[in-house]
Amino acid sequence: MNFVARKRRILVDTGFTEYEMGLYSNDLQMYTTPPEIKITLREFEEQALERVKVYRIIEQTSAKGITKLSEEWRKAILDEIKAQGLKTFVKVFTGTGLGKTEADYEGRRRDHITHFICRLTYSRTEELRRWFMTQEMDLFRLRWHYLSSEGRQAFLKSNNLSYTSISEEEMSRLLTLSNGLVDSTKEYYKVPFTEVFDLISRRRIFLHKGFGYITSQDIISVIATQFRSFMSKQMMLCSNLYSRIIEDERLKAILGNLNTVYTGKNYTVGSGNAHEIDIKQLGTIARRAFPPCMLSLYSTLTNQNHLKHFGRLQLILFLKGIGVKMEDALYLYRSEFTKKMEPDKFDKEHSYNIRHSYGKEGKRTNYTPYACMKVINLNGGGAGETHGCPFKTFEANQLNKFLADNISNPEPGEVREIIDLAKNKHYQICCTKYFQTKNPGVKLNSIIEHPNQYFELSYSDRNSTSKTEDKKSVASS
Amino acid sequence: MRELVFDIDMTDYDDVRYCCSGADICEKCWRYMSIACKILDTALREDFDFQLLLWVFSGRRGIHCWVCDPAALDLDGRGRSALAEYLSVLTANPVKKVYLGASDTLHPHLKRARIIIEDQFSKILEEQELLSNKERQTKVLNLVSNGEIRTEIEKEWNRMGQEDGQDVAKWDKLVAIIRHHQAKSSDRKLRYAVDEILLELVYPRLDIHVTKGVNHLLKSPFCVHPKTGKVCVPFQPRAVEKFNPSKVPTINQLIAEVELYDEKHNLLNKTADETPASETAMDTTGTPQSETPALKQAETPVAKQLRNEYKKTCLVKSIAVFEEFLKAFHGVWKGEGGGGANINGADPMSF
Ligand code: SF4
Ligand SMILES: [Zn+2]
Repeated sequence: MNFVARKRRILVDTGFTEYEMGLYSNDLQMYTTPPEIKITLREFEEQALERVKVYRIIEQTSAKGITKLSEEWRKAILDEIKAQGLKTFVKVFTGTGLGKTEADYEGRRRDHITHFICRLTYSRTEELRRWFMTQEMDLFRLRWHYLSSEGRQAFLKSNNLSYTSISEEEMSRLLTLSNGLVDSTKEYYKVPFTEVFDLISRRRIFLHKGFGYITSQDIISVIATQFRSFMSKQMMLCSNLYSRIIEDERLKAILGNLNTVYTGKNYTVGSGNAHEIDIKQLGTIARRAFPPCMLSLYSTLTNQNHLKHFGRLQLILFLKGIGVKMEDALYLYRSEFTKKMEPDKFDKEHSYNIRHSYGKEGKRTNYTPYACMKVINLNGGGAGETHGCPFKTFEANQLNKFLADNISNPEPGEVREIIDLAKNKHYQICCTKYFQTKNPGVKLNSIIEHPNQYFELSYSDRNSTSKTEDKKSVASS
Repeated sequence: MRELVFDIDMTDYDDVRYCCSGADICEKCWRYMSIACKILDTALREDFDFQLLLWVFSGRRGIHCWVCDPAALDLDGRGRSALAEYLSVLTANPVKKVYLGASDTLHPHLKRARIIIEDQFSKILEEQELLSNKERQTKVLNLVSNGEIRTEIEKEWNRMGQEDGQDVAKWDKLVAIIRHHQAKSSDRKLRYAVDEILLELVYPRLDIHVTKGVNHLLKSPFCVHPKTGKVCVPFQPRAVEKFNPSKVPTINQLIAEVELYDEKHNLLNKTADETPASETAMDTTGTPQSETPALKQAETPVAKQLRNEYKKTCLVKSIAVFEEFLKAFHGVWKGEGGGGANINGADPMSF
């Protein structure tokens, strides 16, 4: 009998091979074997992006200050995953373990494939690896919570994690020995003491004859330790593999961008969010409604009458996104630049690029405004450069000054808080806080992910308040 | 690979011993060492299942424990740190070094330690006269963190006067007052107030750096301490109370003992081959080495004589302890190398 053929035989009623049925028997897995599937490039990219969205949701939820692994944290994450329409993930992430429907297998396969694509993508640099591991570890712990007792047992067994659950007899002996440290209402596992050092050093575990007795809540910390060390080894292997895989240009294009791709709303012109912007009012509008990254570029442009390449690009695409017409943008750049530059020179060197950015030259691509991820990754901060995200590029005192200049009546500690967040690299959270202090009337349901989103939220708010202000001034005059 | 080691130094107890200080050590302060040995020995065996423990008196002012089980030798830095922390209770807080937290239960290891200490605490109170004058009383009082209770105890102690021999009575008073407050108050911080004092005073004061590191050097058993001339000797943890550090022989004593033995048995002018007549009777090892003809030939008479000289001295007992340890060591490590049949105990072919 052809063993391989049999192994690969598709079971008619499920559409999965026996091999896959084995691989995907549990909602939670350690991702020990890479998937062997044929997948179109399009699916490849789409599915991977979905998982990236999940990572970002996890990161942002934790950064909001919700206690990690708490009930609230789990709920916030799952709600957001649902809100973004990632149904397949919700099912597999909250699975109790051993479901046997086709949808169960489908979800697990997707989990498996997307994990591996992301593993590859994020294996490139130390920083990316660390970020990826953090999100994967959190996800793993989140999922463990939903596994049923049987699901957990099966998981342990299939991963050769030989933690024996203990008999009633042993339990009653432990109750006497442990001076109340072992709680009769909880489920316990027995593990060699060499696997629970962190619990031992804090004397948080009952030890007897070389074994530690840990609750099913604590066991996740043991398994997570193993998962982490396995993963970090795998990531190193992956980073070698990565350099070979990206020899394929098509894959390189997808994998190379995945970590910076913006997963929210699209702000290209024509997608229906442009406003009528009066170019003469732009200074006022900028001070009121531009996010820090764009405000600082705008100030540089108007104060120093110049912007370097990336700065010009970052600002022009943003302006295009908020509805500034090409002619107006040209006018703005020209009038500023020519204060220090011959008009001829400007027309030769810069007008083309502005028209190009608007898709009116060359390939006529309608370039998309940059999302925060992209802006943040532009780095910036070099000599004479103002592009990038100020929360990242500014020195602490520079940021301090910027905040003092732009937040009129800060609450005590507010500025400090933002600066601390920036230090901890939570740039988008910084921006969200900044937004809230400037626009106390606007309720945000998510963090700032796009400069144009920032603008849209604060502009519409300002719009309405400034209108009422106008009325007031009319009345009082 | 190296042994897991523990080092306890008598000088770390200087604030709780009034019999000697510095490098001196007597039977009274040995009580602290014997309690330390009991607590650690029990924890290492009961909690971690180690069996190959060799306890030695360093020859001067401390004791060491060498743990030689395979699992102990395998421990990396993280593991050694974890064990060291598990086994030590003193924190960096200079005034009150022990805080057991407000949890509902005392960790079994600490509870066991407290019982061991409690058992001998009245002897310590008497021997060290821990509460015999104002200054000493203040030291103990400072370990009571609740100010109100502290004043109350102080008042009661003052009422009792300052005559000698009241250490146990004063301690009992302290315990009674704290218990009284514990019973009527729900302050969780009070829960372990007595235990904290006991542990702070008597719990083993480990030098955890020695345990955490893998390159600390400890004196090997049977070498002679350069300052005291005393031999570094193993002792039996189960008989640790009977061990008397002041009776540990110096190198000079040993030489004298050998001479005395020889004199007594009138051996001074005989040849090595004939000595000592009672060899087999004194052979504590039970190993038939000296009967092996090959060995006999290989060894010069003088060497053989020297190899057995110790039997004429009081070191015989210490050597017996060491040999018992070695025997256990071989038992465990043979199993380790030989496919594990010994470790599991049951050889399927034997019945
Ligand atoms: S977080 Fe985004 S919108 Fe805010 S300043 Fe940085 S790049 Fe701009
Ligand atoms: Zn003494």
